[in-house]
Amino acid sequence: MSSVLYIVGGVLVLHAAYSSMEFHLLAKSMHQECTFTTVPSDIIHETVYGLVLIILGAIRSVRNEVAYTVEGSESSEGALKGININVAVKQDHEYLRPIEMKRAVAVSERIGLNDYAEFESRVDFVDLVEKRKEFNQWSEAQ
Amino acid sequence: MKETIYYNGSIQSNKQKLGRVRDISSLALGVGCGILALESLVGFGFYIVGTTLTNLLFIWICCGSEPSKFFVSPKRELLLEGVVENVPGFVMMWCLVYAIVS
Repeated sequence: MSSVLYIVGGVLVLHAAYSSMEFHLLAKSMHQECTFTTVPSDIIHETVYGLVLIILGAIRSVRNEVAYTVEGSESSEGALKGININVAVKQDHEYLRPIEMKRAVAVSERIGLNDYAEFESRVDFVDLVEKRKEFNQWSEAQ
Repeated sequence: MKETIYYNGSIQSNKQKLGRVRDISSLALGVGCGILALESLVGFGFYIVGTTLTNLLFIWICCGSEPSKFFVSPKRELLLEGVVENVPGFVMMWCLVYAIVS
């Protein structure tokens, strides 16, 4: 959606720029007889519409993306029945994130993230022996 | 009075988004100003009107007319800050397009 707005707005602005250039060339070639002070109104209109579209595109481009839960849960429907899948979690607001602690944390709790995930899952502190044991058990069970 | 606790991650991400919209709009306004071949104060007036409209659009569309939910000091952050910081980018595009067009 935002890229469509960018493209249409960009085309309008480019066309307006070219028209404006032609207009100035014409005005220069007419020297004294010409007393234009501003560009014609159709160029002004085109520029303004183009700018509005580009700015709307910029605003559309900051939308929140859908996040997926870390742990996942078992699906109960159709072909995916019984398989662990990650569930999509939508932000409460379409564009921005609420800054109040209790609201902001609600979404990350649903995703299963916390501020210290980075520290808790540091590679240096992962118990490799334990993980290997788990993996071996799992692969034998397959 | 109970003090509200804020979540830093959200504040940062909202600021980033606002900055992105501001960057794009100020460059676009510069291009528009150049195309219309505006000069001196009229150009800066165009910039001020343009950014104010952009900010109002941002408040209306992105904040759902409730900016205090997303910004710690909404009036200052949304309407005043960043207007001056983006002037150099605006002037750059203005000069460039003006020189090409006329």
